[in-house]
Amino acid sequence: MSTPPIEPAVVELAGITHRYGPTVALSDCRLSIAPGEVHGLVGENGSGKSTVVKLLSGIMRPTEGEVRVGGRAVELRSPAAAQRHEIVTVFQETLVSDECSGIDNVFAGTDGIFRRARSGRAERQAAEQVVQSLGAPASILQSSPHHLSLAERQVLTLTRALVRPWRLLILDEATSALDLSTRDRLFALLDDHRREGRSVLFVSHRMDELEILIDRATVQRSGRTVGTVDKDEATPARLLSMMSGRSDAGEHHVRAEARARKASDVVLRGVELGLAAQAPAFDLDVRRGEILGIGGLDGQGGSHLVEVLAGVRPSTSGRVEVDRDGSWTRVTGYRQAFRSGIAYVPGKRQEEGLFPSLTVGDNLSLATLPRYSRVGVFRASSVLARVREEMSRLGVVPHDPSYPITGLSGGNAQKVLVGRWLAAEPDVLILNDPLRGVDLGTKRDFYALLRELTEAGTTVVMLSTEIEELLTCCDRVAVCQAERVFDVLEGEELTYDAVLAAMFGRHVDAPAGPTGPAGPAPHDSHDRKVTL
Amino acid sequence: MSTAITQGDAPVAAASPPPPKRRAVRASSVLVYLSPVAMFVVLTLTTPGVLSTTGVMSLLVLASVLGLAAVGQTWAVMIGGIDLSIPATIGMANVLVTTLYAEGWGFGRIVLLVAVVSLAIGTANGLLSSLFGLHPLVVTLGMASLVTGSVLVATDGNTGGDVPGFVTDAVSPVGSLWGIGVPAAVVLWLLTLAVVLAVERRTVFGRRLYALGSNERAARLALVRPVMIRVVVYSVGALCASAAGLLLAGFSGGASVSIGDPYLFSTITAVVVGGTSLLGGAGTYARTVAGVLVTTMFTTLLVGLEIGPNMQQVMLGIAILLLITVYGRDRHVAQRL
Repeated sequence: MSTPPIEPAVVELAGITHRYGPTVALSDCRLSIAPGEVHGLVGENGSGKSTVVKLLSGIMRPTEGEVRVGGRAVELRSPAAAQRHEIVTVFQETLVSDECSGIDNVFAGTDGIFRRARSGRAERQAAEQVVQSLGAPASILQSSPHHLSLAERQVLTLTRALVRPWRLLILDEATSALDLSTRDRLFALLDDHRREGRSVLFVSHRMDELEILIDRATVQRSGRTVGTVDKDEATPARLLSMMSGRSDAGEHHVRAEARARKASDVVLRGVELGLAAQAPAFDLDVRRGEILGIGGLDGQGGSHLVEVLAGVRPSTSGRVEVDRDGSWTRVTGYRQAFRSGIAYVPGKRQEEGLFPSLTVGDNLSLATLPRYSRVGVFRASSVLARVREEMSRLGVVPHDPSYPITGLSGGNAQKVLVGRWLAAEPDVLILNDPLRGVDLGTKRDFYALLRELTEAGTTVVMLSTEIEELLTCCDRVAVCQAERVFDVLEGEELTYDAVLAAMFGRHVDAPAGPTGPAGPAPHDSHDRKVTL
Repeated sequence: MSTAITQGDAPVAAASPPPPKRRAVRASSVLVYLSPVAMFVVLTLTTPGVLSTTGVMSLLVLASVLGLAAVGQTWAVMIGGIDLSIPATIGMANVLVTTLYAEGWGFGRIVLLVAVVSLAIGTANGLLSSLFGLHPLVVTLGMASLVTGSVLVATDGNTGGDVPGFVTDAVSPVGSLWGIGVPAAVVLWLLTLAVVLAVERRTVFGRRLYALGSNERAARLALVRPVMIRVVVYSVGALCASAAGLLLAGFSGGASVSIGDPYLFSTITAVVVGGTSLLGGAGTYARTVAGVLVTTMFTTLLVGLEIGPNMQQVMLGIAILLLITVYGRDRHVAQRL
């Protein structure tokens, strides 16, 4: 572990605890950023990273503990207050407005309502200088962000931060949208700033970037600060083991027996799929009767992948095909996918799933009503019988189809949503993070239900951002990183550490035995299509 | 089958709240359906002559016209929209029927033409508010202007015209259809009511209509086609509004493009008085029927009390603001759950 620097920290978090209602997001967090250093902040989803960023940028205030700037305790009541202390933050693509020009976005908030803080000319020159040093044409300042690429928009958000006076720059996954050359220019620029005594808090999922850039790194796990390490100690292997909290390769969870499925019996496949404009293409096979887990950190393409497989979102390139009685049918949209036996349970329950003003029964039966209908008129008794059947299979409490859906707990509402698609008896059930924010009892029910479904021949594709969950119920796990499937893990390879490493774009060394040198493990299994 | 049904799972059972909300809903709907009865009692006590066959029938004829006009408004509101083109559609039907009949067109041909125009209006409303992401408020307002303008252009602003005798009979309180002593207008409304309620309660379309109003994004993913639903909703609304315009021709016997104007406010009043939430996803035409009866009797009451049309408008305005306040608060409570 590192020795604390002698000069006072630029920014320090001392014993910070933060609660959202009953949930503890951050507990006794300690973080100290020295002048002129690039400080990495790493951790899995839910480790408290984003809470730290929000506290430092004045979006939230801590429940307990102190934020110190230059050794003095301060209260960052608002983003404007954070900026007065010369702390600026760049989030993943957040522009003020699509309607304003680039330059207006860059300077939004620096002037008052009636007074301009700078002359227009000085503004433009400062902004142009930053934009050009990032290798983008100055013209992006004039055009409406609407017409810009993702990378150009990200350059604007970086410029927005860099033109302000700053001592601490927080980059929250701000590099993921950048192409390589822009990223390298940014790193060079940060180097210059570092020499002038400015500091950077660098939040990233990408081990390669962390390795290049950081001086020290702080690791978070489940809301707690695991520790801070110096550059020479901050190897990917060390950081990953600090994140997972396991130094041994042993498994700490009980896992259902994974069943080998015939690799040749494929029911759904992605061929040369591209999820985003610049992401490399990949192939993915879904085998009949398996539970294929889709893993990955938030925003790394997992959610896009399940949406593409279900036909809800078009892929940027390549195609998805489903096996229809022995011949491959291309999936062109979710209605057509549904007719081909694919059912999709959307992710955001409230926004994409539930009908708040309808009853439990209506919520459950909506997608399958036509099956109980003649000339558009449904047989209420058959529908009700089917609803009751699904409700008891899923264990929805209370067992009352006329209950308002808003009266159910999150877990029970999720059961109803899954029931809506189970009632369609699909060949392939695709679930987009079904167990987020669901209680443990419901999770256990779900694992058993998914097992039972696959035993009856249904194929399940399930997105989850929790590694434990993927290990508990999946036969294979495809891990997404940087908008592509980075690795498909199964059998012996499917371990906590391997999934975690893949989430961060790394291959884990073979758990036991010197099968190969460090670096990408040799992959002989033919369905592992790994691109690095 | 030995599935993991942990129905007695303690934390889950504890987490599911008791159902007090449903009782509240039931109580308020009982009030809605009792309000026409209460209103009728008040009316008979204050206004002589209401408590007679003719009195009741004239109330019902007025209610039929408003009721038909309010079908489209109710469904539009239920899918989270609104239909401001109803008055224009009423006016269109009214003018076409009277002028074309005076020109010697057969009644059947006229009805067919009106139906086609109505379907065109409804389809345009549905398509425009779906495909271009335009708010139905703007779309239907523009459509209203378009329809009224076109009618004026087509008829050169001529008013006048004629209606067949049976249309006049249909809205006469002493009129009778097939000898059952009920005016044809009322029979038409009752038939419409039966069909509308059956569609709401027993058809796939009805369920999808509620789903669309409740959560459009979720509805799409649950295989609902919003465009199709909107086109049908606005078309049915326009057809029913045209029927109302036809009946109004029976009252006046002459053409008037602005005859539907009062029905903008009164259809929305009827929907709101019935308690259908303007946020969409809930409500039923049955509630609107209660609203129609209350609104019609309230207006009759004001006339009986010799309150002039201007003051009537003031009173109606106060009534609707009061009701929106009451129901609006109700809805917020529901959303907090």
